[in-house]
Amino acid sequence: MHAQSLPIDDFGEIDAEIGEAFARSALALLAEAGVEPAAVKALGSHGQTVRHRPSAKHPFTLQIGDPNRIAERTGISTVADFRRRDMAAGGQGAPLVCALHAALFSAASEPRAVLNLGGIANFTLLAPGQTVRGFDTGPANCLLDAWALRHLGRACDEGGAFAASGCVDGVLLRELLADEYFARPLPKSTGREHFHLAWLDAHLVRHASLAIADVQATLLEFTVCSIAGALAQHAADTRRVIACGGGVHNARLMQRLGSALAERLGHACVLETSAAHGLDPDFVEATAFAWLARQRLSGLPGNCVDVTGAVGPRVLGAVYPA
Amino acid sequence: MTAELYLGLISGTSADGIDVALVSFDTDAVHLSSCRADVRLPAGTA
Repeated sequence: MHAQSLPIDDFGEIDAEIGEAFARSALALLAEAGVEPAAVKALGSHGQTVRHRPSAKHPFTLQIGDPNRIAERTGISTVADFRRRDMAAGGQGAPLVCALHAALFSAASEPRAVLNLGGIANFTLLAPGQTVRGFDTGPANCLLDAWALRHLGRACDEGGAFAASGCVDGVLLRELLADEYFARPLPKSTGREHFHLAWLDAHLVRHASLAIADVQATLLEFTVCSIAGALAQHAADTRRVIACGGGVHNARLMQRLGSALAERLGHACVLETSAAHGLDPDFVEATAFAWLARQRLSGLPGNCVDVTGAVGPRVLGAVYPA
Repeated sequence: MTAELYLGLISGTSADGIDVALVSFDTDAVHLSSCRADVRLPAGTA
């Protein structure tokens, strides 16, 4: 969602409608699985982010999808509003998946990083004997998808084939990588409020003659360079990167990432998906919000303070009883 | 100890659909029992 303004009546209706859609999806999955709602202890709903402004004068983050409706329709206690407590404690409110990454993917034998390739890319850095760190690196799929939708009429550039048909423009690439976000110190997080088509269009004014496939190729390389550069800067000894999120299906992106990681780190680095560790890469984030709901009901913190920058561990989320 | 079942839901920032995971938590293991992705958010939110 990237509307600059929305009437309050429309906002309220969309909030309700998304809550209903979430409830239908939950019930559909339970029906498929043959599981009764009563067998589910709780449901963790992230909702749909409509704004994430951690650097505003009064920082805020806003997710919609009315949890009251989810609890009412499913009969399952619902935990929602996970990000705002961390932000109230001085954190970025993101990324929140790092604690689950640490629980599932840490190894005493080697420094690892978990790379989530959603709309935005984020790393969780898992170094033996050190606290968990993490941050958003910048765009993963958001610009690639937006450009493909505008010019191909498709939701994404499947497999990165369109990008592979173009040539990277080095000048545009350098200009994109010069964005101030990449120089910010940790902790940091970002979203489509920052990296969106209007942001790209402003850069393209000086590159009007570029073929659309060349722009797609450059955007893919932009994602690759920002990710590999961030890892080289913050965890150069990483030996294994475990990727998840929709971007793992972009074969061109994964191929270029594998090469760029070895090149920027200066040593061999395995790039694999979370499937190698038994977790479907498309559902790591959804799994994380189930885990966060469990943390909430157990009265345990859900944030990693070295990731979000919060002043301390916090129990995240509000409970809407069944 | 019996495994506990939880649901996790998130609408992706990329695909603008809803990802749902049914997760089983045992004392020392996390298991993704079932999952599905729906792309059906209201018009205007993507």
